[in-house]
Amino acid sequence: MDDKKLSKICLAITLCGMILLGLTYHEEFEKKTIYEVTQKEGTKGLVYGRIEYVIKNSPSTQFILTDGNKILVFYPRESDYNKNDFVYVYAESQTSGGKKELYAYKVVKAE
Amino acid sequence: MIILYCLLGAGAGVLAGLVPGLHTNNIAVLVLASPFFGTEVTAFMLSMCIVQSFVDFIPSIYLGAPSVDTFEGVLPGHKMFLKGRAHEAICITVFGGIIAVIVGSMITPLFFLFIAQNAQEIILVTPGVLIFSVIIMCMKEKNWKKRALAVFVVCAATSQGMLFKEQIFPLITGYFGVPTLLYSIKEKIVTAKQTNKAEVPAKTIVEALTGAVGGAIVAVMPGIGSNVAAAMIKTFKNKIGSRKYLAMLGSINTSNFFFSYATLFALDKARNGAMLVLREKIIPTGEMLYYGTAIMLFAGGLGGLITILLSKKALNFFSEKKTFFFSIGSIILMIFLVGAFNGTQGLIALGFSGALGLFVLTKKIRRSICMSSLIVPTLFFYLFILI
Repeated sequence: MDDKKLSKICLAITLCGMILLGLTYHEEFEKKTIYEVTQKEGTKGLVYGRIEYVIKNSPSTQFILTDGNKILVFYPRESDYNKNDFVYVYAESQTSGGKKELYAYKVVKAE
Repeated sequence: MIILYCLLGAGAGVLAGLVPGLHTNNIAVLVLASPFFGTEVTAFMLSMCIVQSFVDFIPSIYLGAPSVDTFEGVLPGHKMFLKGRAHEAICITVFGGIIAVIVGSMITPLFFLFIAQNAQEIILVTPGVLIFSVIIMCMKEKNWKKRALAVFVVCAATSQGMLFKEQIFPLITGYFGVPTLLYSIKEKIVTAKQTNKAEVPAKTIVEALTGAVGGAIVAVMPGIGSNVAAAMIKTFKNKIGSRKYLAMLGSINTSNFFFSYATLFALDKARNGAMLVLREKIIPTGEMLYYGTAIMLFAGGLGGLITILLSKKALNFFSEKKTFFFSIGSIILMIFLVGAFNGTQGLIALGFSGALGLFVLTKKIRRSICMSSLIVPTLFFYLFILI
């Protein structure tokens, strides 16, 4: 096999990859504001904000997140988050006790 | 938009592959601090790593400047370079990489299931595999004198690995990057007129497939890199020609990155800097696994095309004078990058590991033995977990 044939194989694989990419692409956690995520229950999004108040860090974490709007975030793991930390939260909106809150799948501190 | 992130990642992969001393792990540090998440960061990181795994061989073969993933390929690649067949050597590594990408795309779901269901067994087996790899590397030396030297290198590299725990980049640069270039400068630089004809033998498909399996095993085992896997496979095969070995190394290199993504999902363990970033920045769902596989397939084809194109451009570009200046420039760049990313401690680590790297080169011992600096501390860690 010469390099031209090899290039053609590479090109075919690139095209296959592109098609597969089109079929598998599914944006679940788009960047959203607290307002956008809380519009409808079950909406998922990546929310950026500042921790205004930490209710508890252990055994699970609860804090108030603000990006202009405020919301209670429940993260089912232990953490070391502090007041005024800036964080990205992979969240899903839910209602608990009649109040809207965010369930966090993952929280990443902004560097 | 995702294609744009893939192309940006491919660009970064070309840069990381072409510049000796620069690795995707260095770029990963910058990405970790960036505000990019989810599908964007996945597209960028995976494209970068896969494209780098292809482009990596260009400086290795044309300049004799290897990265941590390609140093085993320097000798067979350089042999072909001296015969004027550098482009053919590059095409063979591309072929190996392409086979790895195809195999990887087909078996990723099965691989994921297997790893996820056997996570506990993998932890149990890991120390045995690590001990076995170190013993094999030492015993494969030609005579007892060299075996004794290999044991000395294992001890020295282990001490360095434990002393400079956070300095992996300087250690690797010291073992494989700087010494090779210093050695090649000291030796008379020989260049040969290169031909643009390349013939990839169909028989190399067997080694490419073997390499894909080797890469998958390496992706699961901590501490073992592509080159250790290549050295181990070489141990079990009595005689393996330059072309077949290059196909195998090309395949292992790409397959290692490919399967480390599925390993991240199955075990929640990051086997390289790129996966460390992804572990921080994505939610591991089934959709993300398929999406990442598609990106790597796309990047694999693209990486192959780019590498063939760049290799053609590089033909007869390197004269003796240019090679000399590129080698000097690469050494300066490596020292600068170590200083910039790791500070004074990194430079000290580079000094010590560079000395050991030069020792190994001059005594003509297998260079993969230097990887003991990662393997043995990892072994201690796993023994500690199990005991």
